[in-house]
Amino acid sequence: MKGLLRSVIVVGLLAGGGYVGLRLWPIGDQAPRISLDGDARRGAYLARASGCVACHTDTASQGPALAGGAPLDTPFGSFAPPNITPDLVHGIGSWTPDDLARALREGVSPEGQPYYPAFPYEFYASFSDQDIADLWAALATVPAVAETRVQSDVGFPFNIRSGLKLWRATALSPAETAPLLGRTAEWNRGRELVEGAAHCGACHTGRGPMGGLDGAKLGGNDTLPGDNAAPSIQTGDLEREGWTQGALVYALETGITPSGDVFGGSMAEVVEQGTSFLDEADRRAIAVYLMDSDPVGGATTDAVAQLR
Amino acid sequence: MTRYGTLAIAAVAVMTGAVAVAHNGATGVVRERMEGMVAMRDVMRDLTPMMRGDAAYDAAQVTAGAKAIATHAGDTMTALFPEGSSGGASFAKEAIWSEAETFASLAEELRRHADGLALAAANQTAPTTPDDGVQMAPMAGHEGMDMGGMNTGAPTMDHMAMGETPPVEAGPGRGLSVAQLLGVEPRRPQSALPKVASLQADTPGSVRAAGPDYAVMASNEVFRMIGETCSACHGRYRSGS
Repeated sequence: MKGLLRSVIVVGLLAGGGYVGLRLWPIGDQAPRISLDGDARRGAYLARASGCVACHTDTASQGPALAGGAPLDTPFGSFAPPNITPDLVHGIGSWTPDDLARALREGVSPEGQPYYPAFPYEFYASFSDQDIADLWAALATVPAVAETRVQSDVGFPFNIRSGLKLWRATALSPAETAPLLGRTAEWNRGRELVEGAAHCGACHTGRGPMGGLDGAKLGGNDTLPGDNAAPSIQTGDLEREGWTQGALVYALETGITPSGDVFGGSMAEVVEQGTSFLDEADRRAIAVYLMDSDPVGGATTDAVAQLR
Repeated sequence: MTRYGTLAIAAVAVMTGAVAVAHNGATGVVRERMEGMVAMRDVMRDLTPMMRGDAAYDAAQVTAGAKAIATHAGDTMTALFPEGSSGGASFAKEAIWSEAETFASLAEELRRHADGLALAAANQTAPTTPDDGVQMAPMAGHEGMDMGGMNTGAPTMDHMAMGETPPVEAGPGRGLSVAQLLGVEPRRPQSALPKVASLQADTPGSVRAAGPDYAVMASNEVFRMIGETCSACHGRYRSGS
């Protein structure tokens, strides 16, 4: 009896110690100071291309822009995209550009808490300081909305945010979007959008039991929230399904696919609230990349293109 | 046989196979509506290359296709979705019946657009405006007139007077204002038949009830509207994708 009591105490201490350790485990790099002037137009375009607008606006209920989106129901709980208007209490009005940089590139809140990966910050990891400054300038133009529309509802144990630090240490895989040598500027632009901002992989790449991206890259995901499925968009599979570059460009603008079917599910929203707003040249870049996205042996990062 | 032709045939073969499997086991009204959907899909498949500019334009085929879609839309479609006919082989979501009015108005919007496509079939490009594939129905004195690159000069005084950031003609997001990009303002002005507005009850005599003037629109613009209606409906009421 005494032994049992002792082991309970020991386990309790270990659990408590583990929890304290997780709480104190610092995450995130020191963010550089964002001191550049932002271009609101570039930022607004990037916010549209990155899905900020689609996700943080409850379009179906005609909610105000960026004031909080419809909750995403996942096996881990219901995640409500928060209000990112400049409201001081309910939005991000009290943030600094550095806070935005840390949130987007590292998934860390101004209070140092990790964000859930329902927020696809992995894909925003290589946003430049200029990108952040532009987004900051764009978000500042949005009318502040003083309400929190929906609260996230996440069950135990996933409601312990500190636990995400373990997830970060094991499952986090920041996007690689740097231009590759030997590829055209158009292809590299497509890569930047597909692998980064447009975060195609958030749905089209499978996820492991912990919700980390660990399926074949862009190989499809049959278990998306809301009864949705995303097919493989690897080059070979796209070709087999009758896709061409032109067909992709047209589908990203209109939702109409080469089979004559029209996108439903979350892809309908992606087109309606995302890719249909993009410049034709960017839709084409995405198509060029997707129809030729297989990794090239020994491809190296194009240092010159990175400077552009 | 061109490479494109081969690809097209391969695509058709693949899709036909997929549908044969997907619709396996469907009977009665479920099977009937699936066949209607497949018939409309096939029209869309055949017209899409023309509308993208990848195939020679054939006005007669557009007219025939438009009429085919119209016969499967509207009341014909809603009649094939009796309450309680989900489950089994069906992809229909319950929301079809909890939001019956919205579903019916989308089905009716599809019929209207399909009839409209027949009216616009002769217009490979919009008869009165250069077709740049962006602007909506040309309507006199309409803000939408500025949206599609018809402005070749400086932003108009209207925009400046209203204190908006004018849409720009070059650079990222050209043709759209910062507010439109951020969703603060709708992309298309209300009277250009935005989808959300058209879901609300139609007032007889309003622009919405009458629809835009299809006869002066480019057919690919009407075609695009058909796609938007399909997508709006699939997004709400079809499970899977």
